[in-house]
Amino acid sequence: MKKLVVLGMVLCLSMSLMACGGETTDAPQNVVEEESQDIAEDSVKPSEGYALTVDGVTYNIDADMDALQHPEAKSVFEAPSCAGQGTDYIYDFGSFQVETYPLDGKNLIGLVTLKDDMVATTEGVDLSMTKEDILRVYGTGEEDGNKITYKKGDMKLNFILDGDTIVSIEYVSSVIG
Amino acid sequence: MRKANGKKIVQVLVTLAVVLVILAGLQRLLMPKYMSGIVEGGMIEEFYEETMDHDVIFIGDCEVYENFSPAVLWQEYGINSYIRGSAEQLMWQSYYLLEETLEYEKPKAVVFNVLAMMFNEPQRETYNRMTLDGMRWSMSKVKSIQASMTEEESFLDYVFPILRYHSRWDKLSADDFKYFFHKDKVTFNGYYMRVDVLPAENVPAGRPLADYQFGDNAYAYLEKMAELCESQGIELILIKAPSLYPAWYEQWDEQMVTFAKNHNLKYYNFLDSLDEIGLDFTQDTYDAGLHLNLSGAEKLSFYFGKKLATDCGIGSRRGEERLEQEWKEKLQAYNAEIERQRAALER
Repeated sequence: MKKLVVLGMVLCLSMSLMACGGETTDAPQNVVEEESQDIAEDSVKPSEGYALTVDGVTYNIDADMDALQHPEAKSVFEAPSCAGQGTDYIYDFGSFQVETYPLDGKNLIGLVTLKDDMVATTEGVDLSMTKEDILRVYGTGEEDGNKITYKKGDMKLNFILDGDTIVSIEYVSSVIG
Repeated sequence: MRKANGKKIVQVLVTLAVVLVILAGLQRLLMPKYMSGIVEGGMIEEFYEETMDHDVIFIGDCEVYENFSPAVLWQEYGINSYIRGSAEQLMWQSYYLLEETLEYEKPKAVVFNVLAMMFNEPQRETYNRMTLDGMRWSMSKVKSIQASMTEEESFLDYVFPILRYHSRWDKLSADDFKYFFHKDKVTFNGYYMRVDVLPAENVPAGRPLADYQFGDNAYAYLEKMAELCESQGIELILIKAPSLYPAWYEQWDEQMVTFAKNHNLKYYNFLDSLDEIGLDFTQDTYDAGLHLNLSGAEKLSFYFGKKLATDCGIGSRRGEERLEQEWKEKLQAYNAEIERQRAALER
C-alpha cells in the first residue's frame, strides 16, 4: 500500500512538472517560435512611431512587409539565421533599404535605412542636411556619440552623424535593437 | 526498534532514489535531441567522444563549424584538428569552452574566429542553450552560464533542465525516444557539412554604425583567451572567416589587426584572400554567402592548412597508427555523407 502511495506521489510530481508550463515558454529548440507567439500577441501591430513614406507607401516599423503594396525591390537578400531560427530579408529599393525579421509566421519590418538624399523622412530631413536641421525639425533628442535618437512608441529614429553631416537615417524596431 | 528504524531509512532512501531516477529519465526524455532539423544544438557534446588529442582546436560560431573541414587538414597536411563550434557562440562562451577543452588536452594551436567580437552582451536563450546544454558540468560551464544568461533566464534551469523543458511533453517526437540513450554524430570533427549550392547575389553592404568600437566585455574575454593560451604555451591564431554576410567592417578589422600586433598573435582575415583561396561565391556557398558549402570549406581548409603547416609549424602526424586508423573510419563516414547528400539533392 505504502509503495502505491509513493508511486502515486512520484507520478503526481512528474505530472505537475509537466503541467506547470504557464510561466515559461517552450524548450529552446522551438523557443523562438513560441516566444515569438507570446510577443506577437502584444506587438505584432505596426508601431505608432515615426514611419517612412515613399511614393505613397508607408513603411511602418513592425508592420507586415508582405501585406504592403510596395514597389518591386531592386534586389532582395535572404539572410537565414544560424540553426534555423528564421530568415531575415533585406529589400533594396535603391535610395532606401528595408530589413525584416520573422515573427509568428509574418515578415515584419525591423529596420528601414535611408541610403541617399533622394528620399527624406516624413518630417523632411534627408542625408544632404546637417545636425542643425535635425534639431530644428525634431527638437532635442538623445545624443550618444555620433548618434541622435528620437523614441516614439516602440521604435527609434536614429540619425548617424559624421561631425555635423548625416551619414545614415534609420528607423529601428525595439524587437531588433 | 533499531532494526525497524534501519528498515525505514532504507525505504526512504530507495524511494528517493526511485524518484530521482524517474525525474532524471523524464529530464533526458524532455530535453531536445537536436538530431534532425536543428542539429547545431548537438555539436558541443560530441567533443567528449574524441579519443585522440588534437593539434589544432577551432573555437567560435558558425563561421568556424561551417567553413573549415578537419578531414582536409588531415588528408592534406596530417593535422588532427577539431572544431568546438556552436551557433552564435559568444565571446565568453568561446573563452569558457576553450578553458574546458584545455582540461582535456593541450593542442599546439587554437584558432578563434573574431566575428563574435560584435556582441558585447548576452543575446538569446535559444543560442545559449545550444552551446551550454551540451557542455559537461565543470566550473567552466558554471561560469559560462553565468556570463551568458539573459535577464529572463535562471541558473537553476540550467542545473535542472527539466524545469525549462517540461513544457515539451506535448511536443515529444519519435526522435526523443529514439535518441534517449544514444545520439548520432551530426558533425565531422565539429564540421557541419552542406553540399548544396546557393550563389551569393546582391549581398548588402554593411550599414553605417554610430560606433565601431568593440565592447569592453568582448575585449576582456579576448584578452583572457590570449592570456590563457600564452600561459599554456599554446599559439592563439585569430581569423576572420570569408563569409560575406554579416558585414565585417574595416574599422573592426583594424581593431583586430592592432590587437593581434599588440599581443604578438597571427591574424588572418580570409576576406582579403578570396582569390588566393580560390573561392567562387557562385559555387562555394550554400546560403548566398553567409557560409561555405563543402566545396568552399575544403578550399579554405586546404589554404589554411598550408599556413598552419608552414607559418605556424604544425607538423604532420601521418604514420601514427592509431590516428591513421581513426581517420580512416572518419573519412569513410565523411565520404558517405557527401554521397548521401548528393544523392538526396539529385532526387
